Parts: sequence; structure tokens; C-alpha cells
Amino acid sequence: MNASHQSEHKLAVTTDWAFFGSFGLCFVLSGFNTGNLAPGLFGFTLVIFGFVAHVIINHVFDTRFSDGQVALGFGVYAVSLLIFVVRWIVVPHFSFVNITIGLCGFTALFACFVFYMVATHGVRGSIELLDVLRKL
Amino acid sequence: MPDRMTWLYAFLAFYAVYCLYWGVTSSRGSKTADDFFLANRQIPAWVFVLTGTALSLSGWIFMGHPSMVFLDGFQYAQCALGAVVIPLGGILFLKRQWLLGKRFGYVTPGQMLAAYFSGESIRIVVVLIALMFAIPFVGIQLAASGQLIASLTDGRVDRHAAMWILSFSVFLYACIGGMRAVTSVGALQSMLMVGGMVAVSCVAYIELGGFGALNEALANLGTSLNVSATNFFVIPGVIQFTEGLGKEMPVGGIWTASMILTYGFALMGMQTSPAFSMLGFGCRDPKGFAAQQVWVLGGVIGMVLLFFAAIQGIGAHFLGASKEITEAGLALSAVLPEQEAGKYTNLTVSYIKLVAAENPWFMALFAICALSAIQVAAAAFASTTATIFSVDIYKRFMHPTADDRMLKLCARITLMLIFLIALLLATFTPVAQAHLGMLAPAFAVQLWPSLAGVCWFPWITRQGATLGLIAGLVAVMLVDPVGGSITRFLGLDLPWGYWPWTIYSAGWGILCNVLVCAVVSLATRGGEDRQHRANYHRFLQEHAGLTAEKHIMRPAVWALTLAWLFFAIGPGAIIGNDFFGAPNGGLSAWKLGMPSLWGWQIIWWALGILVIWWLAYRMELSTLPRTQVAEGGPALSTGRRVGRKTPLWIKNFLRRVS
Repeated sequence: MNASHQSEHKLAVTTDWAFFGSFGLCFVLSGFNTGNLAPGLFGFTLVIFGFVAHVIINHVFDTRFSDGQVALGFGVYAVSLLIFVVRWIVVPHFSFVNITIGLCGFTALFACFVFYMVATHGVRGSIELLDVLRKL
Repeated sequence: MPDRMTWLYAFLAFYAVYCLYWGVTSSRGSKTADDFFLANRQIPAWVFVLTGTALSLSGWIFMGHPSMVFLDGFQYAQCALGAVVIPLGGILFLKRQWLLGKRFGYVTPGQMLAAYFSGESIRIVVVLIALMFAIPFVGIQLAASGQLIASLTDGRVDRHAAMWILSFSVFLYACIGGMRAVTSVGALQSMLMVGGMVAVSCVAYIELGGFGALNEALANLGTSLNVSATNFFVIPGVIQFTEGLGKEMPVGGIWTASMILTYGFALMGMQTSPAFSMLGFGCRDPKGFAAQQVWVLGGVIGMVLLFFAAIQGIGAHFLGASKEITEAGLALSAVLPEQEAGKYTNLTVSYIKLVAAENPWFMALFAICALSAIQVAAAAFASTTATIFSVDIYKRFMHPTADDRMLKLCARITLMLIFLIALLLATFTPVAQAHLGMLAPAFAVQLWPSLAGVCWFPWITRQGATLGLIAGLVAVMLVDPVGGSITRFLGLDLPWGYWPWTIYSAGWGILCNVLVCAVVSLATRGGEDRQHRANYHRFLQEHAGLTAEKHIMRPAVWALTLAWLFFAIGPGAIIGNDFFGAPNGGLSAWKLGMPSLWGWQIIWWALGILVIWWLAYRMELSTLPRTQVAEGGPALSTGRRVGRKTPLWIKNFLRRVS
């Protein structure tokens, strides 16, 4: 990719996440805050849309997730999951709906990631990639 | 949980950082003046699709349209068909302008018109239009951003302070990164604008209890109230020969069919404005033109306006905003504050504040969506006008040998001045600025005959185009509030008010413009100039001319387009008043389960998409050219110097000034 294509790819990715990320985040927060399943799950769905759009953008520009993007994605996912688990443990009246939103949402995101890995690298390739990570 | 102010500031900070980031990133790629002015003619199709959409609509669509629907009912909602009308301007002219820009390296429409017509006066008029468009229009948008933040914070943040700070952030990224930054940020801003409109309307939808509940409430309103309530559901005639607003009010509302049609002309001005032409020049190829015009503007925006914005505006009556309806016991709830009767109000802000208590993050996000809608137009119009001034005035008349660095500097200084003047006007003379801002689209549509000359009709001469343009601008001024104010200031009271005969100023302007242009062109036809213009048309014919097969379809297409204009936004629209049931007949009489006029609008919107699809794709008016265009080749050889001779009056003026 030349510099112009790189810049265009970066623009597409940031536009994608700034839109789906901000709406997704707000819906997820609303779901947790009001104890309402629909907005919470819709929020996670928007985040998944953002991920799918990112994959499509990568395909159009004939590229893959960069190391920075992978690190950022895992980081945000891990921190969000941690916050969810801590709140589940610490907040005394953390409702069943909230637990459902969190479990469904984070599981769906993880499933998307696994699906992407298998579709891109195949089952063996995905496991080998994890093996490389373990060796590190 | 942090309070709503914290969320608002956090979202504003993220938004500002995003804009600044793209400003800085874009500046790194902007080495030459062409980079800065037109993003090196490399704007990708998808970026054009998004930014072009936001630029065609501006903040008005987010903040103003629902409020106007609330105020004037379904008769104003007819203007939502503007989503199909606006792209018509683009379909007719954009691809051909792009071809000429690519071939001859035009940066501004003034350059193109001056070269085509071999005259400098038209260049000066275009610069004037760009300035008259940009300064008040940018001022209105920036003032709206300040008002938005002041309203959302219940006055804790001063309106003017918010306006100046937010404007500085827009200025910063436009100034640093030029067109590339404006379009890069515009891509996100456009998505936020549409997403925000849909989301805010969903708030109205949820509060109303669904589409069925809204229509039931509308049926109750139709049957329960007096004649003034039925005006809410109908277009008040084809035309009313009134003296004009300020002197005589039309009966049953101002949105007669003639007003809707001529207002539609003004909306078309958005895609024929100098700023939009420049956006077209900056595109890598015309791949995105048809998609933007047909699917995004016609399809998506049409749907948003006809369903979502209509629900927002109409629904507010049943949510406590209308005192009369609440007192009659027809309201479904009273969650919205009562709006002052008959006075323009900002309904969208009231909706946004509805979610603030339980979901403060949504209030902050919606505020960003509204700001995006406002700022994308402000940034684009200011930035392109600065370029127009630098290229058409500074380089052409003041410093012909200016290098890229000087040109960029001049554009940045002009940009700063545009922001400064717009902000000063918004701070100290908001009413005058609002009136001037209303002129903007009506002014831009006056470029139609000139662009028609360049793109389609070689018989339109320089004298015809220039005099027509001037006549159109003067006519617009005389039938708009600004003209009335100016003549009153001069001690002359015009015998008409504004928009006489319920015809919008753009309609009066284009009528005078076309008449003068046609008569003068016929009187000055022929000669060497005609040969020169014919060369351009040969080039366009070669790359974008219709094939023999398409030629046969031409009469059918134009008949279809005119029929659509007649029934959708023209005199035929009044058939929709009761075509699907009498307005006061109640739900049982409404064949579509909704007010007849609303159903009429939806049907003609769908047909309108078909019309513009046919024009853009089938007639190839917005598709990729059939043959490769040689970039920046030599100027067309016509044996005369094209647009280089400075007219004597400009020479004398410059000599005196310096």
C-alpha cells in the first residue's frame, strides 16, 4: 500500500470505529444503567457491526489488522471485561439483566473474533498463531 | 455516574481531538497548493459520498427541518422531497464539471467559467456569490452551534463563548489541513448527522408509542379540531397572489405548491454552489457521484426526512409541545416543554434534553451529532471560499506569480477573515445575518444558466450568462427580507413584501435570470466566441455524450422528470391533499392509514428515486466517463487567449487601490 492508500485506509477505519464505537458504547451504557436488555444488546451489536465493517475495509484495501490495532482491540476488550466482572462482584444489586447483557455481549464479540480467525487462517492456522503467541 | 456536563465535555474533547488529528494528518500530505485546495484531486469516492451528502444538507436538516414541520405541518413536510430535488443539480452538472476540471486543471468554478466564456466579469460575480454564500451561511451554522451548547447546558455555558470556542476548533482543522482535512472529518460528521437524526427521532417514536399511535392521534386531531387544524394536513393551493410576507399573509399557510416548487429550486442551489463544484473537482473519479445522488441523498436522506424527521416534528404536537392540542386533550403525553405558538423554536434540542436525565451520554452524543451536521457545512463553505478568493482574486489580479506557499498563506488568511466576519456578524447582528443566510441557496441556484452554458448549451453567451446572473441576484435581493431592509434604509418602500405571490426568492431570481440570459444570448450569438465554446462541448460530447440508443430515450426521460416535478413538488402536489382520504375524515377514511398528504409524499419520494436513478445511471449523467480523460493537457486551441486579458475596469480599479 502506498502512503495515500494507507491514509485512506486509516481514515476509513477511524470513521468506522468513531461512529459504531460511540453509538455502541452509549447503547451498552444505557442497557446497564436502565437494566434494559434491548439497548444493551443493541449496543454490542453495533460494536460487532464496527468489527465486521473493519474486516470489510481491510479486505477492500487488501490489508490485515495491524499490530497496533490488535493490541488496542485486545486492550479495550480486556479492560471492558474487567470492569464488567468487577462491577458484577462489587455492586450488590447488579441485576440479572445486566449480567445477561454483559455475558451475551462479550461472548458474541469473542465469537466474532474466533470466526474471523478461523475464516482467515483456518482452524490449524489459528491454533498455530496462538502457539506462536505462547512461545513468545 | 458523572453528570451530563461531564459527559458533554468528554465527548466534545474527543470530537475536537479527532478533528485536530485529521487536520494535522492531512497537512502532512499537503505539499502543494493543489493538495491544500483540492486534496490533490484524490478525494476517494466513499468520502465524496459521505461529505457531499452532509454538504448538501448542512445543520439546517438536523435542527431546522423538524422544527419547521412542527410549525407548518405536512405542507412544509412536502419539502422533504428536496432529498430528490437536491441531487438533480448534481446529476445535471457535476460530472461534466469534473471532466472539465480534470482536463484543464480548474481549481475553482470561477476559473472554469472565465475560461469558457472568455471573460473576467463572470469570475468576479462568482467570487461575490461565494462570499455572499459563505459568510452569512457559515455565521448561521456557527451561531447554531453556540445556541445548541447554551441550550443543552441550560445557559451555564454562554452562547457566544461556546460559539467562538467551537468555531475556533473548526477553523483550526480547516486551516491546517485544507480540503483534505475538511473532507476527512466530513466523512464521520456525515455519518453522525444521519445517525443522530435517526436516533433523536427514535426518542420521539418511543415517547409516542409507535407509528400506529401517532396516526391515531393525527386522525383525532383531524376530526376534533377546527379549520386551522385541517390546514395542518393540506397544501394551501397552487399559488396565492398575495403581496408577500410582511404585507399580506397567505390563507392557510405559506407553503403553497408554487412556494414548495421554488423553495425546491433553492435547495438545488446547494449542489450548484461554488463549494460543491470544488468538491467535485477534488474527486479522484466520478465513481461516487451517482451513488451519492441516488442512494444516499435520494434514498437514505429521503427516508430520514419523510419518516424520522416528520415523526419528530409532527409528533411533538402530541408530546406536550403544542398548547392548543394539549388543552384539547389530544396529547399522548406531556414530556416536551410547551413551545411558543407560531414562533420558530428549536425542537431538536428539546428532544435531546429528554434523554439527558437517564442517559446523559446520549445527550452528549446527540450534541456531537448536531454539531457535526452544523460544522461540516461551515468548514467546507469557508474553506472553499478562501480558495476561491486566493485563486480568482489574489492570484489572478493581485499576484499572478504567487507560488504555492503564498497561495496557501493567502487562503489561510482569507479563511481566518471569513470566520472572523461570520462570528462578528453572529455576535452583534444575528438578525441581519439570518436574513443574509437565507439568501445563500437562492443565490447559488442563480449559477444554473451559466453552468448550463458550460455543460450543455453552447448558445449561451458570455454577455447572456453574466447579465442573467446579475439580474437573478438583483431579483433575489428584491423579493427577500434583505432587499426590503436595504430599500427601507434608503427611504424607499417596495410595493411588495418578501416572497410575493407565494413564490420563493429563488424562483423570482431564476425566472429573471433565465429570461435575461436567453434574450441577451440570442442578441449576441455567433462570432469567434461560439467557436471557442464549441470546442469545450466537443470535448464533453466525446467523453460524456449520449449514445444513439440513449438519445432515443431523452424525450421520455425529460417528460418523466417534469411529470415528477409537477406532481411531487409542483402544482400537482395539491391532489395529494385528499387523494387517499379527506384530512378530517379520520382513520376510517384514510386509505393508507395515515394522512393523505403524507402518503402522497412517500409514494412520490419512491418514484423520485426511480427518476434520478434513470438520469444518473441509465442516462449516464453521473457515471464514469466512457473514455480516459487526459489530465491537465494543453488548453483548447481556439486562436485566442482564454480568460487572460484583464478588463480595463478591473485594471483601473486595482491601479487606484494600490
